[in-house]
Amino acid sequence: MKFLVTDDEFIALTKITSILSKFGDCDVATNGGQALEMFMDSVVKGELYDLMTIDIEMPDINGLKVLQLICKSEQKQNLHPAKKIIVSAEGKAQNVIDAAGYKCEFLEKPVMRETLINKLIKLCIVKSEQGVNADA
Amino acid sequence: MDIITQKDIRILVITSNESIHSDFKAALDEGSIGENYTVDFASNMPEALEMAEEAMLENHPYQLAFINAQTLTKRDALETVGQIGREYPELQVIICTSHSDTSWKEKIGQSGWSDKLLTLTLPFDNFEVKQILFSLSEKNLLRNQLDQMKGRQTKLTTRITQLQENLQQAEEHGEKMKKAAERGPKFLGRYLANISHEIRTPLNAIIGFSDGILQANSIETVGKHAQVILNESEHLLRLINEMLDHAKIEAGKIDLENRPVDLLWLLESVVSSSSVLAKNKELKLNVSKESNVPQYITGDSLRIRQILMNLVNNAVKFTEHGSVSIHVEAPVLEEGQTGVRFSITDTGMGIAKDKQEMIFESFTQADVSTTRKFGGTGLGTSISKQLVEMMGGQIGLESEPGNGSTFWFDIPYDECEEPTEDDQLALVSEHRGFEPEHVKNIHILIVEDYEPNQDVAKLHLENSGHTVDIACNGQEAVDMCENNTYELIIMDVQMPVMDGYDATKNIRSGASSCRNIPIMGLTANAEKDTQQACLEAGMNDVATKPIRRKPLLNAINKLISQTDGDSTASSDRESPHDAPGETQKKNEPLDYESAAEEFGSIEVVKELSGRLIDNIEKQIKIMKEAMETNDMESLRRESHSVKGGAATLEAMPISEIAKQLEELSKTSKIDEIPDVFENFINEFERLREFVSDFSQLKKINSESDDKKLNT
Repeated sequence: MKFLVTDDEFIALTKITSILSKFGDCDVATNGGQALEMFMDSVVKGELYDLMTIDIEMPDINGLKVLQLICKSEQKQNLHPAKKIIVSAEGKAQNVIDAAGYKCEFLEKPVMRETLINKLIKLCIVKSEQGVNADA
Repeated sequence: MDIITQKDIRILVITSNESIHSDFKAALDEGSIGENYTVDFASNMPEALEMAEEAMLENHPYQLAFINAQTLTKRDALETVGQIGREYPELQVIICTSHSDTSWKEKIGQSGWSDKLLTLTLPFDNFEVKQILFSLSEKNLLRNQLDQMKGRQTKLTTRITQLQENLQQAEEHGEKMKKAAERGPKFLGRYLANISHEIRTPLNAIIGFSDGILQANSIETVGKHAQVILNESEHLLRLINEMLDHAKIEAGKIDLENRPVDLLWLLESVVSSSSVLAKNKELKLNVSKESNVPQYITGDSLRIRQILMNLVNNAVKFTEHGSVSIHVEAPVLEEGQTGVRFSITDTGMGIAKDKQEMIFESFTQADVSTTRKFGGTGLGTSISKQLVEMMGGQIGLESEPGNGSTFWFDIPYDECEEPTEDDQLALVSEHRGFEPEHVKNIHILIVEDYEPNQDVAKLHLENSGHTVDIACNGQEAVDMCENNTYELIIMDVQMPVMDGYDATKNIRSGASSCRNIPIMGLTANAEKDTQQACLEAGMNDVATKPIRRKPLLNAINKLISQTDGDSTASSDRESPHDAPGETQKKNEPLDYESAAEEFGSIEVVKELSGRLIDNIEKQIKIMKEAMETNDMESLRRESHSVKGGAATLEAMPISEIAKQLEELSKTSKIDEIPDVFENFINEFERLREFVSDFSQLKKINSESDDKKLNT
């Protein structure tokens, strides 16, 4: 499994990465621009990401914008779309709707271990026994 | 089919007539008759008897004897043959007579030996001789077979007898088993009757008081009822756990862990759990440990604690006056194996010898009346015995009526090194469930002239849930003691107007309600003289400045529990898990345990918390600038960032304050911001210190050499 974790805040970044690392390899990006670069890289190499987590509140490009650009690109190039989780400190309905519009899961910060794992199970990234047994 | 081996048939020919010898030989040699035989010759009866004896001794006796009638003297002829017959019952005798001698035929007829004696008429026919040989050797064969059959029959008979015995034993055994099995239901019946009462009692209370809550008119009543329900539920839970444990052990379903066990922590935990009960009964609780007892052993911490708790609780339960003492030593067990021995001695009523055996059996207590008086399942000690034996150890008791009892148990152990980081983590989480009882919410007077010190002490103590008053010097302290009630005084020594010594002497000799409360001295001077002077002035304990939060809280705990009911049980170590109990966990600047669980590693948490501190420090500078320039957006952004990062790292207190700042800056409530910001800074300092304390933690225990517990 290949994951891309995007967050400008290092603690959340570390947390999500530490949880996901149990299930696959993680690449990290600390801003929107970097995330887009890494996405394009993966397309060129033919090694698509299975899952991307994207923080909404980022200084240069907003997470939703990043999501939009990636989805468009996937459509255009007829790529198998990666599963995506939008992460936000605001539980605002607006964001939720936007996320849904783009076939995307939504996670509220602070990200809790169990919540993230349940999402992974829901997205079939992880089988439920695996999730349950994922050791600290 | 058996092959019956046959030896040669031995034939003895008794005659003095030489020509008969050769005639015989010729007769036997002629043609094969399919048998092996040897022929010997004797000239007279005496010689014949000798030869017969010899043959018998060789284990190859003669089977045939041809006796020439003429060899036998007429007078003793029959007797002689009779003699031969008696001595050699298996010998077939053939009398060789001449045609003319009919006397033998008569004699044989008269004697009734016709089946034993044959006659052969001389001169004999070779053919006749051979026929005799044939039939006699046939007879010989049959006789052999018969003997062997008899032998086998004897063996079979013996075997059958043996089997019959075995069968009988098996039947007896079966009877015993049946009786034992029948006893089972009887025991079970008694057990259920006992247990049913024990279970119904708390359940009745729970149901009754729950009903009471539904009928209650006031919140106060509800509160009281709820407390009873809680107590009874916990009691019921303990009962059920005991029963389950017992069942699991009986079913062989208990697995013992084999991880590092912190013996010191274990003892402390047991003692502090029992101290409440001991205090209530005004019993002294003593702990002592020999210096060769190791700090860590491998084993099952939970189960060892369970055994200790059972024995200590029993000791406390059954002792009316005096003390309960726990002693730990490290004797060498059988076969040179190292072991740890726990002995629990009480000054209770003692147990009679005939009742002692029953103590460790299931479902029995020393007396039927014991159950009614003291409650319990009668299972605790039997479970303890089973657990100890599962660990490869032994348990026992020494007691005399009227002289108290000593319960002891040994467990063999393997020495264990310092636990690894993951083990540390596990230990910490385990210990979370066993917080020692901490003094809650007492009224403390801090007597200290230097303001920053006042503030720090106040902060520490208020965070632990206590209420704090401040006096700036000795005189103020004395005055405040007249007008208020405190449970504890923290008294600085060096102060203007009146110093700590005088203030203490004053309070002690005065008439206020604070006269006899514990006083802890604070001095910057660590020397023995100073300490001595403090104690002589009437202080209970002395601490040196600068005093940090944990040692302060520990010292307070120690003082308070010491002066209440004189139960002495605590150690001098500093340890993070001595921090305030569950209810105060929310006030921790950073919840390390939850963070470690969430992030999966305590090292990561340590590293991240260090970085968090550095980051917030920088952010505080930005926030200050933003406040100066009224840049609300900048302030909001930074507060928001701190809020998020801190929350993710389980540093909730500072996250909350950052959230407040974020809200205020969003709504531009500029006047309220400075106060909240001050709280923010304070909380940051608190967090910084907390993080730095924890980062220095390499081992769970302090580096102090003195690991002896107080007795």
